[in-house]
Amino acid sequence: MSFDWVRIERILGQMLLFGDIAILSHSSASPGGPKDMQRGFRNTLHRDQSKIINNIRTRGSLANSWDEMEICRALEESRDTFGYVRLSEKKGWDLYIRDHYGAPSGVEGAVPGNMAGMSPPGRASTMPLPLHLVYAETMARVMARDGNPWGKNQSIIRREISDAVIDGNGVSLPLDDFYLIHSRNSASHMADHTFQRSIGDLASATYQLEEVTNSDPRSWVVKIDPDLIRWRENRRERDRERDAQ
Amino acid sequence: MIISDTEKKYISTREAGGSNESVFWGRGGRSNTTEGLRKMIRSSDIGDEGLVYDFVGLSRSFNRWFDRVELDPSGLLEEIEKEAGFSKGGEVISDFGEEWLSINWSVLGRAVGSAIANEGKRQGFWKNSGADARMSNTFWMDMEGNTRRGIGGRKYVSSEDWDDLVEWFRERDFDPGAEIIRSAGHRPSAPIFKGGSHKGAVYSMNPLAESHRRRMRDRFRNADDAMEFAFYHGELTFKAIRDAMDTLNSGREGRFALMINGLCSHHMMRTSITQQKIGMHLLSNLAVRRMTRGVEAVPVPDVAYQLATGFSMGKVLQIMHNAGLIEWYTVDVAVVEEAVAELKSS
Repeated sequence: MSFDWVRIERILGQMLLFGDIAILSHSSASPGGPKDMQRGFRNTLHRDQSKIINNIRTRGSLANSWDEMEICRALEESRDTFGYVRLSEKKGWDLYIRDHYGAPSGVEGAVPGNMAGMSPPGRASTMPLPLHLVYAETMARVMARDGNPWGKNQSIIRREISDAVIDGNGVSLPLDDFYLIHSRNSASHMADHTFQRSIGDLASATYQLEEVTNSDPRSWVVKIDPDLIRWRENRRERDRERDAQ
Repeated sequence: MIISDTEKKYISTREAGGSNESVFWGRGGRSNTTEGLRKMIRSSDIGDEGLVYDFVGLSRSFNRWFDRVELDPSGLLEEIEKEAGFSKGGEVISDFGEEWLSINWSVLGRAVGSAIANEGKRQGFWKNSGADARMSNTFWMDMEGNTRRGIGGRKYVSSEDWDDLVEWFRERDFDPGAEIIRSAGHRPSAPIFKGGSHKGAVYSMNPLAESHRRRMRDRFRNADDAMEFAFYHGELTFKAIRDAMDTLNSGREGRFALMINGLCSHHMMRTSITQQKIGMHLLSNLAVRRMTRGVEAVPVPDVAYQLATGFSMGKVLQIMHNAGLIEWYTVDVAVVEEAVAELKSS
């Protein structure tokens, strides 16, 4: 068995633990809550789900061997009754999906179709960000194979830029500092590309270059996306809370 | 001074090692004679005479585009929309508004990076594989093969066919589904548009990608052999860029916008570090500095050191220069050092 299967189990285990996914199948043998009853025991929660979550908690670690690959085993055992995993209803992903992609026909109280496509020209969608990609990227980083996740350096750079702004005027930092932070993290070649990135990448923070009025020699500052600053402030707040505990 | 053909040819054919290992891009500059360059390779003394630093910048031909965007954005937009209206599938791309006024330099850079990697292989500069270009071409052929015509002649691929297509490519480590998101940020350069109704999602090719593909095939004698097509992917891409630049130089900025976005939307490949470094970062570096601060050229030694790519910088620059994408200058070392000293003292 390839270790990739263990990695998949670990990713699914982490998502299950966070309550992001659920294991379902068609089975009248499942414990079944009121929702399961409504569905006529189709797409019901898998009977082993709670046990799997408890086992991970008791063990204190994700799967490391075939014996601990309980999600894969649960899916294998329920293969004749359409066992599968999907996003859990707990986290409100249905709201995002409804807004971002629209609703299928037959959903009571919902206008069918893709609402983004039906909105009047010029009106922004209320949920334009590709949250599922952001989520997938976050999971990929959390579960990095060698402890050196893809994009880690970019996260460090974003953090240092945000810190420089928060500790400074709260809005911008000098262009020289912007280049220095990239250079310090061996990414000088990416500094200019960062300005361009928000074109074509809706989820990217925006970095706006502005010339300092009447500066001689000419100088510039980089205005940072307020959302990025808020992200960093929230993160710092969480770190402080964690340290205080 | 503009670099001479002799210097360019000598550097591109004789340079060894990655961009930050080359003897030509070190402190103190390089010789501007072939004899001096030969001595540098042999680590012999070249004296202080005829030493230069190389500088590269985005081609001045792009100035027409930048000027038009700055001075006449509404006129340019009108021209682009008129051109789009005359093109095949124009109704699909008619409402992009001001998105037309931005070039997606990241994607253009990646397209250029992949073309450089491919063209370098064809010229025997390196052995990098053309697998990505082959995979991309196979995808577009499959996409065309699965395309149906709907009401009003609109072309689309059904949800079921799309899912099958994506699954096949995902198993081969290439995920076309991930490219759908490009249309959320910059529609003119997006390869695929997702649409549909309550009956289900449908997927359609960006008409600009279709036009670009048609032009590539016309140049390639209507060949459909993915393997052979992939071998010439770089050369064909650079021909497409040259055509776009000629269009821009003849004052047809609207047509240029459609051609350059066609090239970007057609680019659908796995994002390799190589493509990013030699294409995306280099080109977007030059473009962004030109657009935001009017920087005409940057020193090659700095760029070579920062990029730290295993590809030879001289060969990369030669391909980009021959394609008309960049300007390449040489400046006397004494002049550069004097300017640097002046800057430091100010």
